[in-house]
Amino acid sequence: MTSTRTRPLGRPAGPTPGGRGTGGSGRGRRWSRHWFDNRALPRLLVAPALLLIFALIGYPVARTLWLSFHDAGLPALTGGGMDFVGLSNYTDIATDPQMRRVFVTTVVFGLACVVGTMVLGIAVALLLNRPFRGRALLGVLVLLPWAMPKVAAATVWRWLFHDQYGLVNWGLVSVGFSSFEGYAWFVSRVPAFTAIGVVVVWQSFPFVALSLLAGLQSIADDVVDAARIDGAGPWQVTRHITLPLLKPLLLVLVVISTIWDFKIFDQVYVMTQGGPARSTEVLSITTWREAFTQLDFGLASALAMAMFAILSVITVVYIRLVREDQGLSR
Amino acid sequence: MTHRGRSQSGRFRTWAVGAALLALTAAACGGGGTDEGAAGGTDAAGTDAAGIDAAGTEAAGTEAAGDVAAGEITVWIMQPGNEEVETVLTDAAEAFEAEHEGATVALEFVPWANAHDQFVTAIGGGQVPDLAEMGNTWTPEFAELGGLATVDSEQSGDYIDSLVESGTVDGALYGYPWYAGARSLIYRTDIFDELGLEAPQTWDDLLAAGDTIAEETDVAPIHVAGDYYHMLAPMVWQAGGELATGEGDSWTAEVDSDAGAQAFAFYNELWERGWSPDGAVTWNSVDVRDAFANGDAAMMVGGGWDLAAILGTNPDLEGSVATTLLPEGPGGNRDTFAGGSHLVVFEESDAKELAGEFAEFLLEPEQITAFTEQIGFLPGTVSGVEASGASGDELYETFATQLVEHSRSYPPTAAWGAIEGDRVLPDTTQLMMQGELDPEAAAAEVDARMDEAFSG
Amino acid sequence: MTAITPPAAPAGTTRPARRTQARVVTVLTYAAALVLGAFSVAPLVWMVLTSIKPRAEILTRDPVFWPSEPQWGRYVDVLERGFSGYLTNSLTVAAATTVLGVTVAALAGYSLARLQVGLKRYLLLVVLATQMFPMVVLIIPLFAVMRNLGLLDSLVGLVIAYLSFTTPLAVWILRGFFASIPDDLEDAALVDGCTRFGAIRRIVVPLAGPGIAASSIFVFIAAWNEFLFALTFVKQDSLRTLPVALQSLVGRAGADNGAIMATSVLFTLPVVVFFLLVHRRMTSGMVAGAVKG
Repeated sequence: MTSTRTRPLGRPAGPTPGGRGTGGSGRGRRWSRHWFDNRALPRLLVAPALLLIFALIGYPVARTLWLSFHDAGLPALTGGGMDFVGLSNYTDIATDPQMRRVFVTTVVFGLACVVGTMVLGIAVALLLNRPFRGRALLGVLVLLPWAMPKVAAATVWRWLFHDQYGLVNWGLVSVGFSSFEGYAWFVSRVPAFTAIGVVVVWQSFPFVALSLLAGLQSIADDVVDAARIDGAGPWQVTRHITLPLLKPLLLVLVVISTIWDFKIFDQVYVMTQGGPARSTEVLSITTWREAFTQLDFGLASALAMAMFAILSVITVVYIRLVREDQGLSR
Repeated sequence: MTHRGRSQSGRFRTWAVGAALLALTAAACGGGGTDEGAAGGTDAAGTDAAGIDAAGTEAAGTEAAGDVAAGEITVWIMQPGNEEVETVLTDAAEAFEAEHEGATVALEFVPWANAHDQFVTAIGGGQVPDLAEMGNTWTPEFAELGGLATVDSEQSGDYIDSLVESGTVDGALYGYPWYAGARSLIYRTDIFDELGLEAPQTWDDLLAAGDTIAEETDVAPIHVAGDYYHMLAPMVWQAGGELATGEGDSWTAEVDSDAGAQAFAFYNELWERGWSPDGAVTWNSVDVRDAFANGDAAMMVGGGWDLAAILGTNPDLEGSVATTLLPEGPGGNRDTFAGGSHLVVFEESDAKELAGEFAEFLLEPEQITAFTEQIGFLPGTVSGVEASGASGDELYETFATQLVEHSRSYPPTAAWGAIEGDRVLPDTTQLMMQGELDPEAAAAEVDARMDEAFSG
Repeated sequence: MTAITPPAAPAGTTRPARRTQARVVTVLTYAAALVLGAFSVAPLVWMVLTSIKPRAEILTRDPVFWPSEPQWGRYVDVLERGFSGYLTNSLTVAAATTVLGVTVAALAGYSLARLQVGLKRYLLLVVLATQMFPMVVLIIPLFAVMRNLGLLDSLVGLVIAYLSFTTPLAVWILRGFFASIPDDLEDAALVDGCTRFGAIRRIVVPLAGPGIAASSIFVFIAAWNEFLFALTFVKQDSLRTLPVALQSLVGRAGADNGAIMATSVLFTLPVVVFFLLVHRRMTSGMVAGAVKG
């Protein structure tokens, strides 16, 4: 990444788009347009977004960091007193076995959901990029999980996985898996997370598929055609042409999916409430519980900071992994 | 709900009416009544509806003084879930506005599932409603946080005791008692008649009847659920024990006791008989009710609202269900938890007087009965119970008796909200049902976690 | 997308072998499409069926696939309960959020993908970082901010709140799309005398069409389905959006599941229409062969 900050204004430098003044007439105009294009425009374009984002979120985020070093109950939020406790909220978290278990659960389950979502999303996008009858219909059908209201989706999925009256068990028994008669999905961790994972993937793959499909549509046909003429099969085209071209987009999607799946709350809360006996608790549930039921906002803020740290590390790792290609460094 | 709302509300009307008679008798028998209800020790809940004589006359004639009435108040009500109830409330607000010139009532409905969080957010974010409906187990929590104004009403003699108890912190009352309800035993008469069984009156009866039903039919005698502590916790009382004792800031859990162990052992016994499916470890009261509505259980512990939902879902059960008081435990009592709501005025409100007036207005017999008839609960005032008329509906009368004679409140301490929120009882119940804890250890675990919450 | 059919058999493969292979691929394609379609819509089908089931048939041991007496009346009830008011609120909020959010995010995304912005890399990470906090810790301070800005109980406030939470991801998505458009087209336009804006309008926007469509859907759905903000920041009934209104069918003693499903069906329909509109644009091949010239 080259920085424009130190470059003298008006002098074309390297391969940046800044050097083109061919359309202008006269040195002064060229210079001013140049200045506009290189210095003012980029910032002007970014400014509204930054304003919108930080005007509202800036303070809450800073506040969270601040609270995480304090012993803060509900009165602290309305301007009441709170005691500075240094890192003790963080050490409390690190030394609590239940909290440690929650962190492991969140990371493992979150990553599993990301893998599931990405694999399904990529597969669906590639499928929808092929010509077949009914493609347009399927293209809309796969988006529907995304459109279904969350309340309805949660209720329906709870019914589907109900141990006594659920369609999932009924279906499995009907096709011969009689051990699923009255099978209790939510009583132990692995099946419970399987069921929750299905719901999470079901709700999030449409976004990935749609975005990737859009990306695939942007790839110029002749690149693909050329490869085909050179003898590449569909798999090779995908592997060596399509996916590499989509790498920046894939990175974005993986990052976004990770953020979502690590923050999962609704699906777990609706299906198990973190139970039985806290065995399916994930980090956002713990954070909510500390904040809203125990009214320990200091500890909850520390948990939020920990979530932030984990997600930051993972994001940076992702970016490192793809940087040589395009990633962020272009 | 929309299709059946009418017939159900008719139901409520009649059973609420039945309750009225009972309350009157109870009050007549109870006599004097204690001056404050904070002591969680006695189990006389409801029997001494304090000062019935005074209340009867005063409640009817609320002064129409309108000096403080001008202004606007925002009122949060728990989402009723159906239109009939919403209409009753909006009508009440309009009636109040008509009576008090210059007063505006803005009703806002908040879903139950989000209500606690919304209260916390409102207080923490610095913008609270003026008046709100609050679940009676939360009132002490928010009172202790300094969020609520005390109730200083001339009508307070008219309030039903268990609701006064659950809204009192350090001797001060923080909630207008709006309504309450209690759970009883709902059972299938067709099955009981066919097997020649009587409705169980003790824990032992329950087990014996259950064994017969399990032997003779395919129906589960009764389901227990891992996430249904309103069924389990009162068993501690039924066994003759206490959940916690104390007052003010110092409370001590009492679950790690013989009675506590007996209660958990009995619940575990019901579970170990194998009558409930494996999945019941994560079931809650709604799952239990759904199973009963589907004809899969012969008995369940539930309230009037459950029964209404069951008959609404499965009208075929009409005529083959009956209700009876909760079976008596070894402690010789049938107490259950009186769940309900207070109306609370927020300390930060700048229209506290008007908010209080509207609360008093909603507690007037006419308003309160119109509301409780719709929701399947009983009024929180003696005059309200009285005003609901006189008649008996066998099916629903039980719930009224249960509430008036055999119900109590959970320990009215600020920590109870945290205990509920931390899922102390469900967690432990689930561990017991999964075989991780034996009943005695489960009782000890609950005790320890409650004490932890009490100590802040 | 017209050029997908392979132009000629690659050298070295015999015709019959190729044909068999093609047939297998076709069969697999349809099988995958079928499974995928079923997985996607099964819960929705169940939602639609439940919306017309009598209460007794909603949760049963043996599933009821077609109700004995379809309860079409539920839809009438739902519509009579002021559904259209909530629908208007939801549509207003979602549409405003989408238009404004995508515009703002596209500008920023373009700038960050194409132009030299100081500290670009950190800027992108900081923007993303705002998304890494659990909402439960942000909601109370956010409520206070909204209160101080006078944005509570207003649809404008809701739109602003949605913008601040959807823009970061929309910026990232759009930046990804802009980054994958080859530079040479735009450069050529600049050389031909277009201004930067001209180049953006004539070259970049059309090329990024699918990306803009995808992010529009993303922002629209995010705003359309949002519940927590809508509940926390807007309490007036007349300003409620649909997700909150849906919750009004859940009461103390349980939920009116039939009505929830009927409302949800009505709630889903506008999104499906939106999908159809955007999706067609997205796959209409408007960018096909763009690099050829």
